[in-house]
Amino acid sequence: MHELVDLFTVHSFEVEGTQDLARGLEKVVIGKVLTKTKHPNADRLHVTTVDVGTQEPLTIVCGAPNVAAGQKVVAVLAGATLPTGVAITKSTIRGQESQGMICAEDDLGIGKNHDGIIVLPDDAPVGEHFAVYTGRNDTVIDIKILPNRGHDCLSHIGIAHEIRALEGGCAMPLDEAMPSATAIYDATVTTENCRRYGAVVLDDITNTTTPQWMRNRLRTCGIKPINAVVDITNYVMLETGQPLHAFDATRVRKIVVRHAQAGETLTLLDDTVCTLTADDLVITDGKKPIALAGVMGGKESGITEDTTTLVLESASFDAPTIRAMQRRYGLLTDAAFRFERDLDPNVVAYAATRAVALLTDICGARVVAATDIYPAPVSPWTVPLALSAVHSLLSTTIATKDITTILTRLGMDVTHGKKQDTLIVTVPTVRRDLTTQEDLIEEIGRLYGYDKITPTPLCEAIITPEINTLRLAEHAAMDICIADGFDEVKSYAYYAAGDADAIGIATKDHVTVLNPLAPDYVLMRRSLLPGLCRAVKKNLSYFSDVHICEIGRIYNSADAVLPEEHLRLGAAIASRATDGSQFYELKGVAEHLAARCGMGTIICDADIEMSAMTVPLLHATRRAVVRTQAGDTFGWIGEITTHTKKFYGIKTYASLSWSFAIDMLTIADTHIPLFTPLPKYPTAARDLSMTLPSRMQVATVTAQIADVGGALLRDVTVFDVYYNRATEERSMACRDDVWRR
Amino acid sequence: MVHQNVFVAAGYERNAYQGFMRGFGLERLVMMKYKIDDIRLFHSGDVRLTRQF
Repeated sequence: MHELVDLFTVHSFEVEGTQDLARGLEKVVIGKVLTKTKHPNADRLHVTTVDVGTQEPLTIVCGAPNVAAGQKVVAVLAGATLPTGVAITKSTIRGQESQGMICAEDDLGIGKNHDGIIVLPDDAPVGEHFAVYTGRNDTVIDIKILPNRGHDCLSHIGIAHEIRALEGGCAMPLDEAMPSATAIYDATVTTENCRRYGAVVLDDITNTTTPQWMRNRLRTCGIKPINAVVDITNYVMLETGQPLHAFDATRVRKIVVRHAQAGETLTLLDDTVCTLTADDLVITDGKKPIALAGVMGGKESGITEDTTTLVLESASFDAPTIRAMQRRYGLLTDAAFRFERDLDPNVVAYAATRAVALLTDICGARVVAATDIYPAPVSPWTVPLALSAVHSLLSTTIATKDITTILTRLGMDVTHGKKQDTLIVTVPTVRRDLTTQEDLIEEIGRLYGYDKITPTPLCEAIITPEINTLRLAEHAAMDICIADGFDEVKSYAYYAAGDADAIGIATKDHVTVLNPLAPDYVLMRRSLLPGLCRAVKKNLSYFSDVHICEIGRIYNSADAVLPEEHLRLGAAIASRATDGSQFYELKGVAEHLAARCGMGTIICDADIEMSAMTVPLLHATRRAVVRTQAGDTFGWIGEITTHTKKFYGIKTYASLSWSFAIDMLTIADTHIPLFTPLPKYPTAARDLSMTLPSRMQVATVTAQIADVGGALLRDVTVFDVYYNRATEERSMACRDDVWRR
Repeated sequence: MVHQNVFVAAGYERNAYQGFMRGFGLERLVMMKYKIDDIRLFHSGDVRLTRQF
């Protein structure tokens, strides 16, 4: 077993796990209750003697209400450790020795039922291991099949082929003819999206219970047994990978496969009512749809226990059509899961033949009519394979006979081409994934064993890649934010329509996701603000002050195929301070960032008109556009509105946010500040204090001072701002440092 | 193994180059290294995670 699992992992597929079904059932056997008496010291307990095939019957104390003499039951012998981890020992229960236990379903971990013990049919053989009796003396290997092999390996035959190729062995030919009958069943196909339609009508069906072996195998594979016909179609699907469907023939006199008319309705087996679109492929009885092709059958035409005559469908449909229907109705059935992986239409015949054989054996069926509509049969194709390409791509030399052996084991025919270096490989139709030389080389590589290829150092000259200045700016900016006391967060690139509304950007201005990861998250973000707000809200549950930042892309809808993407650095502060210090704090970080990245002084311009397309909704007056001195808009800063805060449930007094364009920081790379000779004389500092007119920005004053001061002025530092609420007067004080020469 | 269609789509001549590609998710490695048990934490915005590092 381990060898097989290792072979798979190295050469074929990842084995997700193996499960020994008999584990914990080693000491669980079938027993017969011989006698049952009331426990002398307990009202609800019984004392039973149970024959488990040994010389002496066991005495077992049992509390189940349904235990009775003559029953066949599941008995656990002392010394067992059950699959649930419970150890069973000989014990004395209220003065009465008990030598084991009689089980309910949940004791064995095979079900949840604990209402009573399991009662087996009368013919259950006493003393036989329960695992053997129920087919649990088996191991399940759970193999992860990637989409490129779903068309052949989502089946036991496909996996058997794989094992044959790995271990070496002879090919297993599959019967390729449809079951024949003298009468032809009336079926028509009017669309190319049905590549093959095979139907067999069977009469004299007794839809009984499926034999135990098949029920066991289905259960092991996670499929619930229902009745013989359904079980056989499921069983053949698991075996061959070809989904089958059975219609009750008394309700389906003929079949027409066509595209649905928009607005037609169909009630499916699971009672879902579908209103169909013209893109849907349906099976009809010539009038109305009776099944959603390749996805699920209709309720009305489905078979029941009373069905005596049925139409067995084995067909092949266009994969993208089935995929679209599966997505449209949210019906990822076992059938749709396989059809959307583009099955080989040639398997249709084999699967039909197999199902008919089983239906004949188990249900006593008799074939009365058949049909096979297959307008464009698929034949094996050839792929030329240059041996030099094999050696070059795998960077190892594999003998031609080994290459031939590998390909032959995979079911391919290999002949020598006209050119000496070339093999002509004929690919069996089930291997739909093998169409190019590289595909074949991959097969050779994995079967030969990538582990056998000796690693060699690169022998090409290595060119140093160009420095990614954007990435450097990203790291530098994040380092600055973290140094200034912010925590980094990462949110998703999508949000819901509610988020768009909360930040005042119209839903229609967003790029929408056709196939969202979560149903609500359909808009590609145009701002980092919603993600930041969510994180603020979350963290306010644990901290009174939140300082967070994020680097991420925003997506602006454009006329081009792809949206415009911009990298943004966003930050948010939420705290209880009521003095407006959050604004200065954020502005300080922005200045720090700009200075470190060589952008010089930045200007927060509150007088500018803010366009709804470029920024989210912000407080009407407490917001500004951030520009460089050259006038390039760099980002925005502002207070989050009460509308936004309400949506996210943020209750702090002030919450501010800003967002900057990271790509503008890349100039950091080229910015080299030059040294200014130090002054010969002490610096002259002058403090200025002045009263400002209303709405005059402090920045306007300092800019004016800088302008007048020219080269002599080194620095202007604002050290106080005073606002008299009563008179609404403002005053400021700043220090000018002048270097004298 | 890189499909020639990929080279062509990227603007290279067919069959001029050959190569292999590989890739893996950083989250899984980080989870193994720091014994983080839930991958969703990375995108949760919960700073009690980031403050531990």
